[in-house]
Amino acid sequence: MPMQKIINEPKAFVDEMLEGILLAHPESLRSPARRVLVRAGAPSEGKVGIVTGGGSGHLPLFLGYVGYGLADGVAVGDVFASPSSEQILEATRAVDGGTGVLYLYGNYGGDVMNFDLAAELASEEGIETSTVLGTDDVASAPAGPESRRRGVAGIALLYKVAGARAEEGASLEDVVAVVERAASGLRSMGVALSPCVVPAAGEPTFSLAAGEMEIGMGIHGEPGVGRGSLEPASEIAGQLVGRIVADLPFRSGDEAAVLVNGLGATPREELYVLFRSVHAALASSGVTVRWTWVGEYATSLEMAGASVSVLRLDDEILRLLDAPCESPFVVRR
Amino acid sequence: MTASGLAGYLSVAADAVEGSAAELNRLDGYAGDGDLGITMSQAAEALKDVLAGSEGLSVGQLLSSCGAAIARSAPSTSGTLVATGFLRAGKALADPPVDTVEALVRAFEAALKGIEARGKAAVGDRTLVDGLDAVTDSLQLSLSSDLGTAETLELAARSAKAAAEATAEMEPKAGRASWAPERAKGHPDAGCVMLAIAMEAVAAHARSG
Repeated sequence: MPMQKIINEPKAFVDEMLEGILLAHPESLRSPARRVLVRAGAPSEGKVGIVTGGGSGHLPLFLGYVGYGLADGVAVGDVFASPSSEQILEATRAVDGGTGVLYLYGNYGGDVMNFDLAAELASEEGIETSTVLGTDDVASAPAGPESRRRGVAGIALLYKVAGARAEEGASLEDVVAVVERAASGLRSMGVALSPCVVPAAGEPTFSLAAGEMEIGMGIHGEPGVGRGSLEPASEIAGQLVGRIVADLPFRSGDEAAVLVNGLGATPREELYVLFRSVHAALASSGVTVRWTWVGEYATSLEMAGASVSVLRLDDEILRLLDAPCESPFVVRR
Repeated sequence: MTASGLAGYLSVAADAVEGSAAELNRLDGYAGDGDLGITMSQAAEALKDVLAGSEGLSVGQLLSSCGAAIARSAPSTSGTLVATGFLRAGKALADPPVDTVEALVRAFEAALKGIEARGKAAVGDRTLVDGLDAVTDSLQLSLSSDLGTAETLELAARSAKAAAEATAEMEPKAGRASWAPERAKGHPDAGCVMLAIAMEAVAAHARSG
């Protein structure tokens, strides 16, 4: 069956997507090197720079978070593949304002390897870097060794926290401290209803029969924790929130930020139906929702499904989430 | 160890790896994506470019520049790991000992440790780490036995070859080959074979001159 995609040559997919983004948003973004994007005004002298990166196919992740109050630069990989250390190094050079650079990205083997190597090369050039990983996916590894967990949609909240703190003029050490605290109180769970097709592969990443869902599936189709019949939204919300609350654990009286994220093909209407039940499930655990994002924040091409991320709040984290931000993809005033 | 001496070794190693590209692709194809020869030829070309303009560089700077150039030109997992090895060796030889064997020991110890950590692979996982570990052991033994450079490299090359052959019967526990361990069975690890080829070229260079 031919792919139902609006593309040219599958091989050109990533570069043509980037060309389109640069043509559409020249006032916001520039490209200092191939497959590297930074804020048009980068570097900001004296401000801690924030570099992220990862595979393509997840818009607005990762490049959509390059903007005011968010990240400063991004290294863009092929679909679902890590960018190179050289791209990361180019992004690092382009955003270094003299006060160090934070590497903030999701915990995947290839990305970790290339960001670590870039950090080593940057240090040879006299640029100080620190790393914080998104490890919010509860389903990806058992509780305990959280460093083995993958990063998924929750990283959007970490960009928000890190970016706002960096705009306040905080030192690299202070930015790292608050992002690490946020990351340690952040948990996500997803559900997939249909697969996606990587353009260069031309085949679905996995198969899921009509009427089935898979709880805990990763954003590249990594196996989840349970496949079963598609349940009503309230049931799905109960399962996702139940696992999230038990894992941290969230306690009665906690306040939280919630991100309900669509994986690409699930309409916003359904996301709000899901959020309604997520809100109720959290309330029944005694967790109060103080801050919300509902929409597409980390997709997996045309995969259908959603994820729920819950972040435990304190005064500083809530202040940073409430601060303004602006990128071509994410705006908060 | 001098920078010009080191450059001579690196140059013959790069030529040997480039000359074996087809063989490395074939071995990598059994359980990986079959492009190790292509990637490592890019790394070898980058390394030779660095050597061509290396006048005035110290031993440590030369190795670090090779590492940075490989990272730039061979952006795959294997390229990243080899680049890491060169960068760590460069750091370890920032102030190189006069004795070549002692310098080799320091360089390989640092490269092994860096690659183990970055690749999250241990000895016995059927990766390049197995070959590097065998070479490092052999170099350490030669240093404590006061052997000369040519003899030391000869023994190290033999250790690398034996380690590569042994990987054919090992089960892959890290890297791409661990995704389909049964397909790797009976074939040596391509990364280890590459190291053996490079070490053999270096040993032959030491023998001849």
